[in-house]
Amino acid sequence: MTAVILDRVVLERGPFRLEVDAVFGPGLHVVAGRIGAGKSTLALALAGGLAPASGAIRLESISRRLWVGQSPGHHMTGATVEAEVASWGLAPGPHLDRFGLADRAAADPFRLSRGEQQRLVLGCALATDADLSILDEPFAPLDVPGRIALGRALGTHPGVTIAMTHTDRYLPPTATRWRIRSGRLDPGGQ
Amino acid sequence: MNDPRYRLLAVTALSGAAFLSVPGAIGAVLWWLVCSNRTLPSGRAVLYLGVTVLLTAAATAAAGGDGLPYLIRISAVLLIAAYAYTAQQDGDLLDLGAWLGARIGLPDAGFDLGLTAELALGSLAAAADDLTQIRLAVDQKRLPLLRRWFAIGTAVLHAELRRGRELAGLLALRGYVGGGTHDPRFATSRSEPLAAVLALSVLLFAILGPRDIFILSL
Repeated sequence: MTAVILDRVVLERGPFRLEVDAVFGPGLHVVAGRIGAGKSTLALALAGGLAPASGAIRLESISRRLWVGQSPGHHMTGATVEAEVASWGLAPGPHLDRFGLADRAAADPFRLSRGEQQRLVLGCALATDADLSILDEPFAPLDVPGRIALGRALGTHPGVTIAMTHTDRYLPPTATRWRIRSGRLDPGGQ
Repeated sequence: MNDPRYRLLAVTALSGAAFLSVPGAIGAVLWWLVCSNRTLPSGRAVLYLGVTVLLTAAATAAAGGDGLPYLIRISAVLLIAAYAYTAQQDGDLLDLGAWLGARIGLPDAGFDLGLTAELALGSLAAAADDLTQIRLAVDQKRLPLLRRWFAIGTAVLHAELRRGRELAGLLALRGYVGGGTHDPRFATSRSEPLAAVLALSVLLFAILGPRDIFILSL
């Protein structure tokens, strides 16, 4: 079964410490927690950008994982919006239409607004064949229509999707809820 | 060392000593062993720097130059730089700039210089975090090596420019024009002046050399 298993994982960044013992199976998982609780640290560790101080993170039947951080500009590698879509291995034409960026195809992606950049990066990431998607505050820079569209897309996205977010309003009811509290990740509601 | 005044004095003296001579470099390493808390930055940063210095020293030696003395001196300089970086606390440079500016009769310039240095160092730490995340983001696209490096460099540059723009906007919004009021307080332990004097002695030892020191002591 496709799953991410965190076996008695301890994550440390300076004095900060987070303990995680969890299994993320197929579907949407939403991780909540106050600012500074460790959501981004957990996202980074799941993406392979931070090694656990102890314990192990195991990816079962996962061939490709994708992480989208809080700064969409970090993902930009194309000289134009069109080239940026192509750099994800996607055909620009239909995808630019879907992201509402068809008229910005020749623009420098760094010149887009933060909301447009986020729409572009999330749209590309969710259109790839990744079977593990890790999204750190994906709703943050989006406008309300963008948030509604993202909520719908996450509800039907295949594979394991783990979203770190404060936003509950736009999430599908099928999402599995988790919360980071007092340095631990626990299953539970928002 | 908690007091940034003594720390800066010691680091400046030891860097000079390590750069000037091999005995000075050995003295600087001994000072680091005795007077510091012997912490270093992350393993990967040390590894990259170590390999770079080692390769340069090997190339210098192969070309008939002084590879080993270069290796010892530059390693000591980097060790002291690593100590200065890890011992740094938030606000140290602003404290130091304001204190120094007030002592030489240029309080506004001291405050501005301290603030600039503090912001620069903060940006350096933020840039390190950005680099980790940008590498992770770019590597997901499996780009060819050269394009990967170019993409990472461009994204880091954009991230730093954006941060600089936001910071400048924030300072302007708060009405910052130049100068400020800051009266730093320093927590100095009794051993810190002694450690600074030892660092200055190492510099003197590097300038005069072991033979001259020996004659002076007679």
